[in-house]
Amino acid sequence: MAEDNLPDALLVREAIRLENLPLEVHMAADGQAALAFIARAEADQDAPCPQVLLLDLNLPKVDGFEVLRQLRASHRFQSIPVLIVSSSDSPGDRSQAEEFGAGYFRKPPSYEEFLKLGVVLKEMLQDKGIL
Amino acid sequence: MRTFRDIPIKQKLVIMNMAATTAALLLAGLGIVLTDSLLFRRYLQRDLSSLAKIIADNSTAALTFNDPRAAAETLGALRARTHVLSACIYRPNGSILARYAPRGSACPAVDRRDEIRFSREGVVVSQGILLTGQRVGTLMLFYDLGEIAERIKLYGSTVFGVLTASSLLALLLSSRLRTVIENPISQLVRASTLVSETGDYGTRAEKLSGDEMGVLVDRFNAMLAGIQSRDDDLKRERERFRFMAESMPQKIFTATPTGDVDYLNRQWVEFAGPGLERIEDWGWAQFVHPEDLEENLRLWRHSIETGEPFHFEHRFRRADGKYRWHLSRAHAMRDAGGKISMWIGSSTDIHEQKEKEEALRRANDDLQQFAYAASHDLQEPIRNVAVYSEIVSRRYHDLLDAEGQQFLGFLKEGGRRLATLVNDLLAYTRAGMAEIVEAPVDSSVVFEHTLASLAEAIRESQATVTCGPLPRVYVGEAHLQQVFQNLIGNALKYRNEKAPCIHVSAVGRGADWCFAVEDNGIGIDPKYKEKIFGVFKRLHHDRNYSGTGIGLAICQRVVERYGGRIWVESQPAKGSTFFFTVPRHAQPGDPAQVESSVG
Repeated sequence: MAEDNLPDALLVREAIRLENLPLEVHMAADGQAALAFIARAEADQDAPCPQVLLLDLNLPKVDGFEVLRQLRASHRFQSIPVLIVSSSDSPGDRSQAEEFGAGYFRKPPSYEEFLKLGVVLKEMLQDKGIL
Repeated sequence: MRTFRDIPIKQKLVIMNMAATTAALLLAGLGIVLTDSLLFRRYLQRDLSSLAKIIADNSTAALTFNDPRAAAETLGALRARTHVLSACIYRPNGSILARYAPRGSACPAVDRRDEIRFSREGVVVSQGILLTGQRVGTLMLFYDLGEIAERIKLYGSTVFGVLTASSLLALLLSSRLRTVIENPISQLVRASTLVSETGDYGTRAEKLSGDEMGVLVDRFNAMLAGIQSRDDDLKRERERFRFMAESMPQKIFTATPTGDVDYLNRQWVEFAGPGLERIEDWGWAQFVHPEDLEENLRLWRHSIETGEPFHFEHRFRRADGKYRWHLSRAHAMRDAGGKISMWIGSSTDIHEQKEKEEALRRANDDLQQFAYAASHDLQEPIRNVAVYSEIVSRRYHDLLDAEGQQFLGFLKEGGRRLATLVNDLLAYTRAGMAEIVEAPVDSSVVFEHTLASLAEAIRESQATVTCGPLPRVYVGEAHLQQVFQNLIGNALKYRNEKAPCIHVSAVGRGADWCFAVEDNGIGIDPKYKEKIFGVFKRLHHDRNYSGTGIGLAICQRVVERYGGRIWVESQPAKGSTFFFTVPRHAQPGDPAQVESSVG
């Protein structure tokens, strides 16, 4: 998960926990850290290798779409599922996400709504045959 | 060879006079000669008959006494008549008693009937010689017709003489008199030549007579006066136009129907500097900014071809080489037959205005970007407040006393409202961002999408939402849905005790589609008709009607962004109908305002 906002990160973790998804969550607090994580996994077979990326768009240092672009350009992760988790509801962001083959979840201002992220993620992983 | 038709009038007049005089005199001469020769024949007949009777009477004795000498003497009296060719006195038995033949002519054969016979050789008279009523002989007289020929000759030469003399006289007279006709014509010719050569309609032909020529000269002069007056009017109008054009602050030009610029006022000279003649015809094109030129020429040619008004904003180069924005317009002037006679146009310097507009647009864009970014960035902290106050309320509810719970309630409610407000603000700023719509959007599909997203509210209120045939429009799908969603959402929200009944329809009106969203809700007091479209304007603070008061402002922003307008007609307690218009055709996109995304 690439997310700079801790309250949101905690909510995402809670949504995953509540759906009992068998996922180990690695946190990257900005775009650069996310890219470094990916680069490490590319170079080192023993490094943790992400199966799915939960990506905020408004990240410090390197923005979310740039992270996504570089991910899609990599060898090992070019086709892993990506779910964008963002505050933005701009049609432009949605259509750009679609172009990269990424899912889109808009962060809602309500606890219950936010927890639906778990369901969305679960469906996505089932679709991709990961679960 | 010049025909009679082409020779000058003065020659024509002489020839006509001469021909008429000669013909008249010839006819008169011929008549006189013919009459005279006829009269002379009759006279000769009578004369010869009397002569023959006298000779016959005088010959009775000579014949009775058979006296040839006496008879010859009697005949000798004919000597005085030189035209007598011969005369003979015949005895009853046909033998000749006496004969008179001064030139040896033969005697005509005897004829016993008394008669006078004309022949080609001459006149033969036979006259019986009687004694007491008894015919005792015959006198035959042979007279030549030389006298007639002499007379004809005499008359002929007289006629010829008179003819020659009168022809000369006619020639002389007509030469003098022809000026009476010729001078007025020459006057007219001179005057008309002068007018056509100098264009001076003040010229007049001199009236020399009171006849038809005089009338013609009068009419010609009156015609010239008419033309002069119209010419003066025209000159005055032209001067007036020129004065007006010169005193206007705008740059004025006129062009021929084919688009050649043929007049430019002083303002052009002052703007473009010397060498203005280079602007005439199509020379102005080199003063137009290269970026504007192609479109400028296209529009101008289009106007020339169709006669439609020309309207264009473009940059013209000033004498100092700087380009300034101008708004140019031109209209075709048509004659009574509807044919274009000229183009009149003006160019107004709108440079300052354009710069201000540009600055304003930039400021608006900046503000827009700021509002968008700010409301976007506000979302995160507000969401944190809203969500975590909820979590605290769920998990730590029991740790708080009643007052703490109430305060937490305020926090939750405040967070929720703030989140909604920021969300609506975002929608509002986004409504002002243009979307270039290349393909028309089916508004009935957008209507269906709107119903789907409002499904829950529709179900709750047991509303009936219907639509008539809806057109395809050049409005961004998201924008149109924002409008539908807000208008239908409001109709669902502001309902009375009846189940809401909402109908969406559209009709073509000129260049626009006019949409109507009609409901049977609580209606709007007419005095709030304008106010409701303001940002954060809410008429109801009642909890029954929740909202941020930004929905209609969003609708207005979207509709106006596409060049349309929005208004409401309503009867309180009976229902409202919101109308909005959007253009039927695609609007030219403004690339500076394409939506930008903020991550």
